[in-house]
Amino acid sequence: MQLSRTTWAIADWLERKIGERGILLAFMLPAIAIIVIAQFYPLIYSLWISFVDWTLTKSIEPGPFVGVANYSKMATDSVLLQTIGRTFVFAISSTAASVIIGFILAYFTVGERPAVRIARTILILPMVIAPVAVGTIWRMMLSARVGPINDMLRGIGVPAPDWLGDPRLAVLSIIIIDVWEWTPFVFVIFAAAISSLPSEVLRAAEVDGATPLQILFRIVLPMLAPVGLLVVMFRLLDALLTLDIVFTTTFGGPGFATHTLSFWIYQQGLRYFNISYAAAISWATMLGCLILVIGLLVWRARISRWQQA
Amino acid sequence: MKTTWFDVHRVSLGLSVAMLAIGAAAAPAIAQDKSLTFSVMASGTYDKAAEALAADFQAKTGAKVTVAAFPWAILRQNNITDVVTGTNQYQVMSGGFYLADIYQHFVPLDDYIKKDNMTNGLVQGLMDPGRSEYFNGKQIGFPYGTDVYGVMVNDDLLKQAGVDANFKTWDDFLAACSTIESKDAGVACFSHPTGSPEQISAFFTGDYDGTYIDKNGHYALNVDKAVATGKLIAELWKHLPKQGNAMSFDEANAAFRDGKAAMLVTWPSFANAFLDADGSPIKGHWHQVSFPGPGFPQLSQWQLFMVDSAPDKDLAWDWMKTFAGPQAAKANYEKFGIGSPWQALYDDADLKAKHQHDWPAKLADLPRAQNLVLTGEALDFLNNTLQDIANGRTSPEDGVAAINAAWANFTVPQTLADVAVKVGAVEK
Repeated sequence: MQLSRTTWAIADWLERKIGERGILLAFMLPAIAIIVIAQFYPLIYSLWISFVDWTLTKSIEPGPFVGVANYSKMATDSVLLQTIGRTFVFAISSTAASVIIGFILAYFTVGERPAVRIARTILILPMVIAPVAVGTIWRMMLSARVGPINDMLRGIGVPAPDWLGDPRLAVLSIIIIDVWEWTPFVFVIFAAAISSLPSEVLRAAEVDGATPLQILFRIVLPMLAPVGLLVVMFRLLDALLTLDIVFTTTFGGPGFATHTLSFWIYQQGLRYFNISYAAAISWATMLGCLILVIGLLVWRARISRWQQA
Repeated sequence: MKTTWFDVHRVSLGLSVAMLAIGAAAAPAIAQDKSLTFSVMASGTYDKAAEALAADFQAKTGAKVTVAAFPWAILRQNNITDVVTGTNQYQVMSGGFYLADIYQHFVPLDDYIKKDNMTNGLVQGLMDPGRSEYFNGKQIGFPYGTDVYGVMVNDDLLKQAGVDANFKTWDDFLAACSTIESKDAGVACFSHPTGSPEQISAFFTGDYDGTYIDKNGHYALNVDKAVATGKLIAELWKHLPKQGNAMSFDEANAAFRDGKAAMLVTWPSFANAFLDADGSPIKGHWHQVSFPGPGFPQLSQWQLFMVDSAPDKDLAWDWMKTFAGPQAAKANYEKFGIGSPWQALYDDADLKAKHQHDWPAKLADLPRAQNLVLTGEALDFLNNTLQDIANGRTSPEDGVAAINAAWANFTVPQTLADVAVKVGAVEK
């Protein structure tokens, strides 16, 4: 009782002194402090070290300030330049495939019938498997000589490819794995979005004699465009930063064939300990991603405004 | 007597104080518990041998040894990270020349080695620079696993093809490939663990007899010689088994054992026990031949390093002696296939009789086998580019130019530069 009265008294005093908003702010302060310490400090620190010369195996202390040397080094890093192109190919292919497949699956599994609900549950499964496990499972499945996929292909008389050993197929393989893993994410979002479409609009179109294809292309897809752009944004970002699948299936090989941006950053920072160079590539990557996100968000806002108009 | 809340609090307080006191008293005892962590490659050989010895070591010394095993590439990374970040999780590490970046963190072993006369009985020359690791003239690594890259041949298939397996050069080897495959289209010339990217350099060092460091002290390959070797590797890769570009060690071994490949190019310690296992169709039908030149066969000289942050260095040395010493050599070889650095093993009459098909070539190659003088980063760049050349992603000319361009930015650690001079890897 006494404690309760004291608490209220303190609260009243605080409210008089700093107001209700001040109290709310005070409650948020610990969380803000944690975010600042755990996220912004490392971020700013990494920005700082991208301007110094620091290789961890040479010294445990950051070296001298070198200006933009680490950034200019990127322009002459032949592996990095190849990697950027490959990462874009990977990200765009994977995003396009997962968005198309995810949408088709969502469109055909709308409803609450038991079979549909079971199908939805099964379709979501790849997303809930740890990415490292996904990569390991697929590495075994895609093994050219002893993997079950090639066994099956040989069984039906189809030439069995060297999925992870042929440089061109290795890139395709990691795209397939990424699509398999992340299509469920697209599927879940689209399934929810399709379910929330106003049924009266769709029914009105049916009454007016619209064919299913006309309903899909002229009503459903335009109405889903803002959600679709968000999905594309998340998928692109995720694919641009892919590391785990590459690490577990090909380790960037054969040769440099499946080196992606994140894998090269990982190699530079955590295998060769070129901390400052890795920080510079990370910051350049982050800025690139930021521009992409802003572009997609602006586009989405325009579509939303157009829809409201 | 009625118990009040006050009494309960008093009892709780008393118990807490008592527990704290017990904890404080026990703390020194716990701190005195002897233990160390040993990092080693997860190969199914070295790690298993360490686990087997750890139990005996604990029974003998009371010290618990935790074996932390990782695949080769991760082991290198974890060892370096552990030291440079000051995590100091491992007191004894496994490794080789690719740990050159952190040599300064390893304890000189000369006094320990001298005290226990640990060089007595080692295979001659194993402690030479370029084979064992030194820092500032002091020995920092002690060998426990010695292997030389090998070529194993299927006697029946080579006889059937009329090929003499006495290959002086890799060009001889390549010429034999066409002959072997023309006799039986279902048999590939050779298998190799192509899925392990670090293995391809064995072909490079086997054929390339140029230098690795230029006059200015930078890593650089002799362009003409390296391009010629690149071309040879690209040709060799055409003679792997079908879909053989990403084979694991086990797959490569199995292809040779099952007669799908006439030869096997790999580390003998990873293959020979498998090939000689009961029921193996190739048992008694294969032998190891001398590694072709004109370059050198790679030496796998696994060494133990004591980290300078190890709190109990005598304990660390005790473990090193237990794991790497001559007493464990025979068991390590027979149970786990670990190639021994101890001469006594190769003088054992029974073993010698059993290994007439592989030891003579291994022991003959050992004197010319050596380590690379490359850092981990330089070695990775070489391996990845060689794979690109082998797979046709890049031409040998462009590949070698890319290697030299990248290597020009890498620093050669002084310790490797010193070794390079001694083994003739520096341009004159």
